Formats: sequence, structure tokens, C-alpha cells
Amino acid sequence: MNWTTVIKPHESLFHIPWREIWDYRELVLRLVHRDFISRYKQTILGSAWYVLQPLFTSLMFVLVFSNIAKISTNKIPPILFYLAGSVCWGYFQGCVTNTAGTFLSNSSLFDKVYFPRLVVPISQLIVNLIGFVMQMFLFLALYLYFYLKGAPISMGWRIIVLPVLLFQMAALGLGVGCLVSAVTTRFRDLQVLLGFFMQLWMYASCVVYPLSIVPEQYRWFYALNPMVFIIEAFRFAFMGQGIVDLLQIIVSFFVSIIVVIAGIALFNKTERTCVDII
Amino acid sequence: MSDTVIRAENLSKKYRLGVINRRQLVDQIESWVARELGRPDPHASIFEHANDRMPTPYDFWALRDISLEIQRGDIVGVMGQNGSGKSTLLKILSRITAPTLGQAYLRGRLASLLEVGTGFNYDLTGKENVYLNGSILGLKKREIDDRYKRIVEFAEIPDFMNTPVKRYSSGMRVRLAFAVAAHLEPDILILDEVLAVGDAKFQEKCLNRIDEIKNSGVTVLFVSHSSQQVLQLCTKGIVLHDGKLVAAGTAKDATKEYLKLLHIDSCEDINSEFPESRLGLLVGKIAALIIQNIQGGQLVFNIPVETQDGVRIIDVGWVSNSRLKTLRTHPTWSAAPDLCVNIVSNKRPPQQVEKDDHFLLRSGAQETWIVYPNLAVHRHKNQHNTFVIPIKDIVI
Repeated sequence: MNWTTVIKPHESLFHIPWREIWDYRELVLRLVHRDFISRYKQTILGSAWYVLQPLFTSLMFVLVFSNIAKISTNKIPPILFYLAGSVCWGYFQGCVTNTAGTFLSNSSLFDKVYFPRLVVPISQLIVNLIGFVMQMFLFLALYLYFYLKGAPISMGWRIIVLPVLLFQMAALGLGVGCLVSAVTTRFRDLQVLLGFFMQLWMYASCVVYPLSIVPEQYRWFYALNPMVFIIEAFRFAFMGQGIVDLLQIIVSFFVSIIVVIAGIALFNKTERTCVDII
Repeated sequence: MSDTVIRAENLSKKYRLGVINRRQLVDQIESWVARELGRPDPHASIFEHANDRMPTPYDFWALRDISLEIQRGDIVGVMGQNGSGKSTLLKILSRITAPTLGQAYLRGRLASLLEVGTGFNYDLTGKENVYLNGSILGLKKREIDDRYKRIVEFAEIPDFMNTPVKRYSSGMRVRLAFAVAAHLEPDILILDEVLAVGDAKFQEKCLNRIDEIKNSGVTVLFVSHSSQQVLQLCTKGIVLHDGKLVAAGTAKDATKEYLKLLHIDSCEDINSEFPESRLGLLVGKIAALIIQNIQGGQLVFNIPVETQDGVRIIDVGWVSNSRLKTLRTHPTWSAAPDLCVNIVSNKRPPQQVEKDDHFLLRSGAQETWIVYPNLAVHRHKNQHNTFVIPIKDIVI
């Protein structure tokens, strides 16, 4: 007997239905379309907000951390330094917060119709990727401007690591987001905590200062945070400034892999019974 | 070889009642701290202090040991009273929730319509929503392209397809959603009382559509409270009661079991071929009987009658010098044969009853008359005053 679907009480926690997700790729694109359009619907500036948000954030960072607190950016034009950090962090944060709402904001949909639930987080990664690409254009335009003005920045073959960094951010964002989304179905406190937690994490991730000014004795702590590696590597790739060593790379990959596996396992466990709880 | 498309083996689903979970992490920690310190748990329910233990929520089995096989092309009516486990069974089969025990096997693409309009985004236009809704239900873009014209025709709102759905009337939304679902063409289609919405004409159209896909080899699971609908549309029927499967067989046998469960003894009189015309006659006779019992007046029902373009509801009115003012039946024939006659008293003016949907049994303020298929009539839910009118001499 060749059954197309077998419904069992328990499914392996680490099972990812790749084939089924591929079959639902149309849905992924529809959800991307839906979210991209409806996010800034009925706003005056529309999708310009995708670019304006990191720009305003970076300008604020320049004012506060560069001009007032006088934190060194190692001769990189401050606006470029902070923009690099905010663009990367923005992508990661977008992935986490959007994925974290998977079960709560789609409960009415999950309650009525089946599709592989991972489709929703995956579509969120893509929506945020579109925003990231738009922000990269802004970054590259400013980059070109400062490069022509003679700022000490240079990019070379190193920028080929960008896809790897992007992939790692997406995986890490998916992992953290899945963990939070699964736990929030039981404990809604986490929804409130998430914003606060992400802000703390940002300050621990070298977004507003270079790793080089962090005292040696705290470096081990920074090595555990994969986002530090990603942002430093990004700055290193584009501007030749940043601390990247082998140990950091290994630990960062290792932590990311563990987080994404744990996230998906918990997500799988939750998706099968979430409609009974919410 | 028989061609089984659905097989369920001992499917069971357990829910926990009572203390389900504590949504707030803080409460959970407080309970834990209290237990560690040997103090009473501040969040325990009143039953728990006795044994100072973790709460033991009692279990509730919504489904117990359901085993069944469904063949390709069967149109299966799923019957049962509220809370009998119909929806849980369909939710498990459409993979929305996992069973606690047991397994189920499916062959082919399954589409379920547990609620009309699932996944509409109100900011997008009707056309965009057709594509979104179609892909949520598992269709490819190319497949939706092929069906788009038929979907618009079926929904009968061609002028509004480029208008955002938030500007639609609720009726238009329902039309569009059912149109998408009706053109899914899956191998297995699961419908959970979605036909209870929409006006009578559209309902009729939906039922016709189900009749159409009947012949294309699609297997349909169809929840209905109406044994008449099941008899008319379905080839097979299953009956659930308290989470257990009590009958499975041909539509006629299953309907009999279902009516027996409702203490309606015989269903020999059900004429599956002309339910509307027969019902119209029946209602007329019964109206006369009720009037006799309440001494005088004039009875009027909303009776569905067949016209050239489908079933229409005809409104009729009633005047009386007794305390009863107005009388209404179920608005559509889908309620047959458990016909409920809703009587409006001074406490419930006609305007209020007009707003009711067709579950007229809900309110305690009304009197409900049940007309049994053996042509007995009696007043329902009034133990002291129950009386049955034998209708022996009525010939239809």
C-alpha cells in the first residue's frame, strides 16, 4: 500500500519536511508578497521606510556614540561604521521578531488549514531579505561616496563571505525566533520580554562600538555571541577593519548550529499541538 | 482490490480539562517557589490543597478508538450531536492537530475547508486573495490561473475582483471563499459545516457543486446536522457519539442510527428524492395541527419551495388572538427532518427572532416544536407539558 500521508501521534523532532516545503513554495512567495505589501500599507512613505529606518538609527548612533561619547570607529567614517552594524542587526532582529510571532499571529489560520508550518518563518526570512537588499544599496551608495572622498576603506575578494554571513544570520534568526515562538504559545510573557532582550543583545553585539575597544578579559564572552562575529566580519569584508579569528569563527558557527537545531526541534514539537493550547 | 483512500486505526485524542496551563511564567515560578518552601501553592485550584501535589488535570477523550476505511469516490456524511467529536476527527485527518494515539493513512491530496474565508487578507484585493487563499489550500499558481475564470463566475462578483476585500460585504466574502474551495479539485475534500453560511440560493449552488464533483472520483467527508442533506448527497455515512464511532455504513443505515440516537424512531417516511416539496406539504399539515392545539389563529411558515431557478424561501405570516404572536420555521430546508418551529412570545418580539441564525433551539425563552418524521408533533423541552399529536390520518 502506498500512502501519500501517514498521520502519527509523534513525529521525529528533527524532521524537516523539505519536500513538502518545496511543494508549498508558491505559498512562501504569496506570504512574502502579502507581508511586504501590507507592512507599510497606508503609510505615506511606503517602502521607503525599509531604507529610512536604519539610516535614522545610524544617524542617531553617530550623534550619541561618535560625537558625544567619542567612541572610536578606527578611522572608518562613523555613519558607514554604524550603518554596517544596523543593517546586519536589523536583518537579524527582523528575522527573530517576525518568526517569534508565528504561532500567535497566525493562530486563526493554523486552526483551520494545514500546510507545513515552517513555511511562515521561511517567508519571514525572505521578506526581511528584501529589506536587507534595499538597505545594502543605501550602504553601497554611501560607501562609494566616502570611497571617492578618500576615506581609508577598501573592499576586495573578502566580500565573497557576505552570502555566508547572510545565511548564518538567517539561520540564527530562524533558530532564536522558533524558540521564542514555541515558548510564547505557553508563556506570553516572553512576547513582552523579547523587545527588551533584543535591545540588550544589540548592545552586546558590537553594533555601536568595535570589538577592538573591548578589554581582553571580556572577549571570551563576546566570542560566544555569534552576532559579534557576523558584524565584525561584515565590517572587515567591506572596510578592512574588524577582529576575526579562527576560534571565533568556529564557536560562532557551532553556537548558530545548536540554536537552529534546538529552535526547529521545539518548533516541530509545538506545531503539532499548538492549536490545542492557544 | 478495494481502493481505500483513508484508513484510520484506533485514532484517539485526549484533551486536558481543568488546569490547562499557566500562561504566565511568573505564576509558574511562584508555584514552584512555594512548593520548594513547603507553602501552599498560591495558584493552585481549590481542589489541590488536599494532596499538595502538582495539579492533575483530568483527561477528556474527545475521540476514542476510531477505526474506519473510506473508499475512493465515497461521499461520506459525518453525523453526530454537538461535542461528539466530528470536528476533532476532521482536524486530525486534515493534520491540524496530532492524534494522541493511533494512526491514519491518506492517499492523494487533501483539502479541508473547516471555515469559509480562511486566510483572507483584508488589505489585498479579491483577485490577490484568490491566489493567496488558493496557495494556502495547496494549489500551484498555474492551477489557480486555470480556474480563475470559473471561480469568478461561481462567486458572481466579477466587478469587485480588484477591490480590497475589506470593502466587501460579508456575503461577498463567503461567496468568494467557497468559490475558491469548490474549485480546488483535490482527491479528498473535507467540509465542516461550511454550508451553514450564505443565503439559500447560494447554498443550493454549493450543494449542486458538491453533486458535480461527486462524479469526478473525489472523496468527500461532509459534516452535517441534517440527515436530509446526508441522504440527498452522500453515499456513505458515519455517526459519532461521545467520541466513539457508533455507526458506519450506507448513508441510509447511518442516518437511521443517527435518528435513533436522537430518539427519533423511524425514518421510513423520509423521501430522499423530493425533500423540498414534501417538506412544504408536511409543514402545511403540521401548521394546521399546531393551530388546533393552541386554539385558533393563523399559522405562517417560511417554506422553501422549488422554483425554476432553485429553492426560494417564501415568507408567510401569522396572526392570533392567543398569547403567541409569530411563528417561524428553520429558514432553510437543510434543517429537515428535525424541523423546529420557533414561536415568538411577548418576551421575544419578531424583530429579535429575525436576527437569530437558524439554531433556534438555543434560547430558553422560546418554545420549540419538534416534528418527527413519523408525523408526530410535540412541544420540545417542556417536560411538564409535553404532548404528542398523532397524525395518523394525514395523507401526503
